[in-house]
Amino acid sequence: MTDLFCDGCKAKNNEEYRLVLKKRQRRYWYLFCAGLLTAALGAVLEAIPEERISGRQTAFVLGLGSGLCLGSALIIWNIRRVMKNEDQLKERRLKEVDEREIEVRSRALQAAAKALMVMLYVLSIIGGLFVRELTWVCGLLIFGFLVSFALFQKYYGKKL
Amino acid sequence: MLYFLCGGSSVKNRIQELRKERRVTQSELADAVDVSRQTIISLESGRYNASLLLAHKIAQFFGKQIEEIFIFDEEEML
Repeated sequence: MTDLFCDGCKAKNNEEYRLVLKKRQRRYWYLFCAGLLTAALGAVLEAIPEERISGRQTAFVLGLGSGLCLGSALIIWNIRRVMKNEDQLKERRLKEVDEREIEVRSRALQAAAKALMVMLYVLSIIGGLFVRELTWVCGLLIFGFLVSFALFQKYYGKKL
Repeated sequence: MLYFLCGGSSVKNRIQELRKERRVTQSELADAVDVSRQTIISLESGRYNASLLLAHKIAQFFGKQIEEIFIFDEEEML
């Protein structure tokens, strides 16, 4: 699986790709900092008495923050390791720039989007029987997805 | 829309034939045209159709015209 910030780079050789990875590494540092701030917020919320704020929400914020920190630290470590090895660097570059891999990713994304829509649809019907708000949330998410799809289609229609 | 009727392998290619003729391995060809070996395997088996850019690179590698390597099957399209 390619990483979060893989945005279809066009690096022609390992040197160009190394620069792309360096930029990407910086983005993961930002993500690491965001995670650190979230975890710190979670720690601050822990101090607030449970009668005033949900303990479950505090644990969620803390978990989200530490998860982001750990995840981005692992990716940064992996990028550094790959940058030191020319063979691994080439393998990773080809995984990103190879046109077949791009097609595979694009089709996987399309399929995942369709699966997500079906899941939201089912959740809005079944979940709505138990929690009424779920129907509204799912409906809004489906609506948001369809609107953004139409907007991006218009944008790329003009761009390409 | 016509493209819904198209089969996946409307373009056949002679990559494997030319590669074997010149005793070039899949990895060597993949390195030369800057794709993964898996892409060459998929191209040879007809599971994947090359883009114009990749077709051009492959044609250049073999020193041939694109249409000498990639054969457009018009009957299959209709």
